[in-house]
Amino acid sequence: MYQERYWKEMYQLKVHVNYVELYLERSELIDRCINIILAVTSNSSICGWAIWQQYSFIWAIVIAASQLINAVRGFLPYKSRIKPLAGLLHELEELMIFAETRWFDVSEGNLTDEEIHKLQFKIRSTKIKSLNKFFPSGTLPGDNKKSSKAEDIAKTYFNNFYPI
Amino acid sequence: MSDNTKPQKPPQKPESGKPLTEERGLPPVRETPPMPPVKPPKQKK
Repeated sequence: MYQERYWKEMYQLKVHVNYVELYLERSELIDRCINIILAVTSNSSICGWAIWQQYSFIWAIVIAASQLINAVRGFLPYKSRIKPLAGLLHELEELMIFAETRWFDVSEGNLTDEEIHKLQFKIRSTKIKSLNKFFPSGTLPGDNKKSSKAEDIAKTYFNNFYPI
Repeated sequence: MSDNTKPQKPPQKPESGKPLTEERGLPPVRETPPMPPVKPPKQKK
């Protein structure tokens, strides 16, 4: 029973590593897109293109949108999430390596039930400490799509490295 | 003789209907793949 619980804890950790990684990728993409839009719209040489004389209405909308984005940018969560997500991801990846290393002892019968139980909760408490460290005052909004993709990636990983 | 047994309260459910997890912000896992065969754990002396 305790070996099974350790197995589930390890699998759940892998799903969470993947989930955080997907979240980080998404946040970086959105932040990059915002930066590109703002860079393009603030570039005077692009503003001076002759084509905008013909489509001045479209350019006016683009400029208005970029000013709006610039105004609310400080309140958008994407940029502020990147650093804590990257830090959390690194710590969870290290924890995953630890969990997989110890799986050898768990699966080879080198530990008692009590030792396996303590090891499982050491992993869980380390994960929670990392979460509290990088997201002390809030949570990540749930994302079912990322969650589903994270589970698929984890399943592939475990099928490759822990075949039955 | 009085009956001292009290009805048990049902487990508390969150208002949103989502499962409780102490790992806030991280999703609960729906399904875990089956564990590969393992050796039995060491017996406590």
